[in-house]
Amino acid sequence: MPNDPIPPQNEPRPRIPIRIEEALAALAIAVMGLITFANVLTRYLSNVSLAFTEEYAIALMVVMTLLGASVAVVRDHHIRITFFVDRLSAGNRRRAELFAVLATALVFAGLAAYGVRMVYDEYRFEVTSPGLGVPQWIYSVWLPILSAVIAARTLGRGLRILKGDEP
Amino acid sequence: MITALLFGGFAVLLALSVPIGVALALAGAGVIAVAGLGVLSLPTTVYTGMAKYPLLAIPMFVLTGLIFERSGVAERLVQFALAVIGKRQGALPAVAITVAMFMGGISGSGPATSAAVGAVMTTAMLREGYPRAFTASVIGAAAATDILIPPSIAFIIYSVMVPQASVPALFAAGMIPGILAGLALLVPAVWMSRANGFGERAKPGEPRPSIWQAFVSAIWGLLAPVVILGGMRAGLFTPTEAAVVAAVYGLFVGFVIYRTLTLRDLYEVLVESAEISAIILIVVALAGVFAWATSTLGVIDPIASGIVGLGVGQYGVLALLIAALVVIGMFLDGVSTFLILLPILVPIANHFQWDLVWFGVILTMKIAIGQFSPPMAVNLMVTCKIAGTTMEATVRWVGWLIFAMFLALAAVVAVPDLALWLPRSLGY
Amino acid sequence: ADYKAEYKLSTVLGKPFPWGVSGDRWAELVKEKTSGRITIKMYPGTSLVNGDQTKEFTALRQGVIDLAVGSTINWSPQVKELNLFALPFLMPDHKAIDALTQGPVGKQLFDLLATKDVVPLAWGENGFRELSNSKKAVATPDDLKGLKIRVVGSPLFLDTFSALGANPTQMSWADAQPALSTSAVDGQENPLAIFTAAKLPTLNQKHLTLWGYVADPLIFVVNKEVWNSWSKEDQEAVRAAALQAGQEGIALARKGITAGDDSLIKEIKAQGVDVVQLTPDQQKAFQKATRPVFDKWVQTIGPALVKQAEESIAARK
Ligand code: NA
Ligand code: NA
Repeated sequence: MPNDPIPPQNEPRPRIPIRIEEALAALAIAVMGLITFANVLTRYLSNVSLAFTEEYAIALMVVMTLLGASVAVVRDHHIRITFFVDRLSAGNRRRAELFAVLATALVFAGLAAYGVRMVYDEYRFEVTSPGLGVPQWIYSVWLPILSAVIAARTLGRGLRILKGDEP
Repeated sequence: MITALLFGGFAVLLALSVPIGVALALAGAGVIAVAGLGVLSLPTTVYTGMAKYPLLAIPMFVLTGLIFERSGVAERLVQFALAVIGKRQGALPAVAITVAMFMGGISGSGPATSAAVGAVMTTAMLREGYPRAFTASVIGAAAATDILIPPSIAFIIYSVMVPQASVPALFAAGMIPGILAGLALLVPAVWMSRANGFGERAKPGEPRPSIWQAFVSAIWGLLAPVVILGGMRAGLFTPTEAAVVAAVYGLFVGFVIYRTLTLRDLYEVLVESAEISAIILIVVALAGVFAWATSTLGVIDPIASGIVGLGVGQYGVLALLIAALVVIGMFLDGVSTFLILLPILVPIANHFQWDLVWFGVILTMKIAIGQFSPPMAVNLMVTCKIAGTTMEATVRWVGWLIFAMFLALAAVVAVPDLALWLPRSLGY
Repeated sequence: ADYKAEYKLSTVLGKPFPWGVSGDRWAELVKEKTSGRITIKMYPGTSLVNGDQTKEFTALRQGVIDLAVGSTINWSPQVKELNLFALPFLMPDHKAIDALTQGPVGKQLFDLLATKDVVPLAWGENGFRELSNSKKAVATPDDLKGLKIRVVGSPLFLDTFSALGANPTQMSWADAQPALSTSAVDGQENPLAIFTAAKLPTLNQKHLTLWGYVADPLIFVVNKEVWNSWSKEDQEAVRAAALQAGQEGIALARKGITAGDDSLIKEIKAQGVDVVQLTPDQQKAFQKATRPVFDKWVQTIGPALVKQAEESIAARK
């Protein structure tokens, strides 16, 4: 139950605008809602089953989460405890900030790298999705792709901190 | 050794301001690598941690809360509450708490309710002379009832981790404790206002707004919790579907009835919900790595049996857990607390044969208190920003509010039926 | 080669389900038969893959999991031939299951699994999946029309229930329980042991139909690299342990639900559940309604394998 829904005073300005991720994340959550609502409606108004749509909704949730996480990296909205770091000197605070940036980039770069192996494995062994029987990699490929995006966004933020554009 | 590395590494990363999900994943992956277990589990664990049907309810309930906030429902609820309570000292804090509880019946997250209530109440309270820090404290505390009064993201996460406790049962069980917590907050909030002479009395002959008109204007908002909870109770839909139906209801009210929403608003609400949900869900996903490490390295059982083996009896252990959670709650948000601690806590609860629904309510009440206990208090972060004050300044006021909700918690510990009577009567 | 201090065994259900008992027994027997050289810890609830049953096989192949007692349904997204056991009304009785698993079909499937970086050792049993719902007694395909049924994750199941005119909804077991308790979903299908252990009668599941439309054999497997790291002697010990645990598990899974011993069915009736046992004629009506699904999936599974299966079943004693 984290996060403040209020934008920070200084909106960061990455060279590639985060509007891309924002628009796609908005689209993902909107389609998720529509799918689930259509499922409820058809169940009550007709005998047609849209049960298969659940698989799409869940896949979209994963995509939305990764896109939203990317936006939150740029805006520095991820939940973290700055209580102790705030009590350090300006220089040390900057070092801690850069350390946090590197740790974040490392985790998402790792997810991207190992994620590629996971997806390749699913592709090679022709794993199908449990609900609809479509190739599973179509869903899971977004994990490494978007993890790489998050890692890049994190490093971008690190650069802005180094240049002094962001505290 | 491994246990120390896992928890110590996590604590150090956290203290260095590394985002909580990243700290969990890094500590977990580090230990997995050191122990020579398969690091290939990493992407699978993260993916499956997110791709769960019950979690779909989270973005949907966040979306619902924001749609209702934008469509002006909170504002109308305030007018209605003002009309009922009338203008007197301590009236506005009481209105803020009541409206927060009602918004809690629509929204699933504390900070979202803090923002919604803060946006409509802060100016009014400042105008009547309530101090900024007091205003921020009351609204932040009031919004904490949100995760108890259904719908609640905390309960959804709890149910995902403890499937024996179903979402409908938890939702029903949170209702009475949530109302109790809200009522408990009323006492110190009104008392502090009176004692310090905050707020204005009605001048003689000042007209009172019509209760009926305010009621009619607020009816759509007042009905929303009925739609959400009634629909679930009547078996019309699952919790996930209830969230979507409520969102559609909110859009209908905003676009058709009140005509306060624009397409631009809708887009912004979608972006905001996606980001807020992502911040929660990415922690859920990354915490899976930590959980994988704890379960495969077998570090949980010794801790759990160590606590059980202290020989202090079930109430001793419960007191100990609550004390530990007070400290942890100062620094961690609710979802992370569940993700990290539930694997340890559930075996303990099972050992004492505690009802897992009741246990979930107790833990969630503790987490609710943590949401407005400085220094790490997500609700206060939001309300302080709106009221233009600092979290340090709230310390003077917030203590009594924490104490009051603590008493409510103690009541539910002592009388489990406060939580369990409603789900039992509803047949969950 | 080096032995690990502890090997990770994955199952979907823990004790007291026959599935969990089988896994537990395997671990116990392995320790005994290898004089403690191989220790196994069981992880029920597929907790090693975050509870996602369909990811178990991949994790096993990658070495994230060392051993598993897995379900043919859960592994069918990775091994499409395993859909064989989910073909509606292929196996009329327990002898038919044995005719498949212990015959040439079982051997072919094991040979196939062996090409996928795992070593299959023995068969176990989760059991025939029976239908329950909260609305009405189901004795004909018509009774199923419009009922909302939760099914496990496999497209074949969606096809089968759609063909019967039902409204199948695919969801995880964790989500299914609240859905049943709020009647957002009317019914479900699972082996009887799960029906009772999960206390489904308390979730309004008052109508049970014993129709035996599919059965779910379990497979005892070891990751190939792990297997190769063991001595010949230990390999044979693990295999023998799996065979014994499988046999015991099968006996346990069938306890109380046969014509000779129907104690479990009596117990279910005592909880106020109305039980419909389909006659062979009634079963034929369901078989006929699902025949197009059967024919469609024969193409996916492989006509030769299905033909072999039908021959084995026809020749069973
Ligand atoms: Na709520
Ligand atoms: Na706190």
